[in-house]
Amino acid sequence: MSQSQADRTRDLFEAAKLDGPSESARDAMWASIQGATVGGVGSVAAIKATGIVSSKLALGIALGATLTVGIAATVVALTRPATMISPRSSERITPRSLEHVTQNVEAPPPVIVTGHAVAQQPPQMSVDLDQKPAQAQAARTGTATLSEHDRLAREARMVSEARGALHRGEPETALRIVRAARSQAGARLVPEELTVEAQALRAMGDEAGAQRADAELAGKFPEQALSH
Amino acid sequence: MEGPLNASDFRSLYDDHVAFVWRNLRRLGVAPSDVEDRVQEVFVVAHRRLGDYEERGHGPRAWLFQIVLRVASEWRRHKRRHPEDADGGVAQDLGHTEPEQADLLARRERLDQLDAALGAMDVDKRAVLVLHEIEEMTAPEIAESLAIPVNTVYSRLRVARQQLENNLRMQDRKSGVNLQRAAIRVIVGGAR
Repeated sequence: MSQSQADRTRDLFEAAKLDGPSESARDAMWASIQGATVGGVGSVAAIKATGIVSSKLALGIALGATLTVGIAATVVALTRPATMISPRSSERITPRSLEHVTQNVEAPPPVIVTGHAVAQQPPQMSVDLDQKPAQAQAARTGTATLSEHDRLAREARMVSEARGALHRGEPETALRIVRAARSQAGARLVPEELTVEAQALRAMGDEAGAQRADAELAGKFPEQALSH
Repeated sequence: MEGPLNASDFRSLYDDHVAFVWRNLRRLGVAPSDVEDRVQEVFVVAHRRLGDYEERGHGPRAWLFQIVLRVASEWRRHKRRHPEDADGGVAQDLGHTEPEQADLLARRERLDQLDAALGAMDVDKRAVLVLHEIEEMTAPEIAESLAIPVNTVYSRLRVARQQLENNLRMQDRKSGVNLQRAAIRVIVGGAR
């Protein structure tokens, strides 16, 4: 290999070492992974760990998160036809892995607030883990009639994840996720997203930004309960 | 991260390795338009199989790479059966590209050259080359990742380097011919 060829190859490898997803892509992927794995890894554990469940803010956020995910799950569960369930494609590691073609993604358990159990058991959401990527691709190409439902479910998960990040005291992460969710074509949970955005900006000390988000919410969605 | 992984480690596993998974899916041929979905698939599978992970002194990269290999292989198989995008999804991908600056475009161009050269190579050799040259894994680590003997790692690496060099030369020749043709068209067009 000549010196110039060797330099070029090295240059190509160096470029490849820097390749990776953007911050917003990381957050969006994590939100989807969290939604597809049992229990939603972060938010409930974080609520317990941070011990802020007694505050009104926590109650509001938890109620909102549960309602959002619950409504989205209900819509998805009611409208998803059985024909969309596809056989597992990539999971061929051991025969044992074939035991779990679908998993039940359970919503967080009831949140205990100042001694009162708040009954918040949203409906269970049955998710075919290998189906989602194909549907996400189909959503981009516009070839699947159910892409709208998948987008809604994904958006709901992102809102939920953003709220979890807020609970964990990571307003920057919450802001990134919620803005990524809002930038998706056909975003349906904009009021919830604006609410989280305002909360995150406030937590970051950006009161002016928070007020702009509040104003946008009140201006665009005057009938929304969240805007009052 | 030592010992078996548990769910609480999963977030840090993701944070630490998402770029690794992304890069290797791309280098193994997954189109940019599909890579996010496949990254998710890798981590969903990893989450389900956390209990199977055993630390052998190399961290979770070897284990994750085995999942990456299967996911990428399945993706390629799917694309062969359903080649819906004649351009491999490039046009679709351009639609999703955010405005990039010149250096990012230059880097993307280099990555395209590399991927084209790697794409002409069989996956066994490509995997060894990528793990060694880009991920800077040691031969024993690669041997574990791919479940092959260390000597096979060395022999594949030697052949892969040679093939990469040849493929890059062929790219240069093609682009040189294309440049010549373009120049001739300009000259002939000007003479008319």
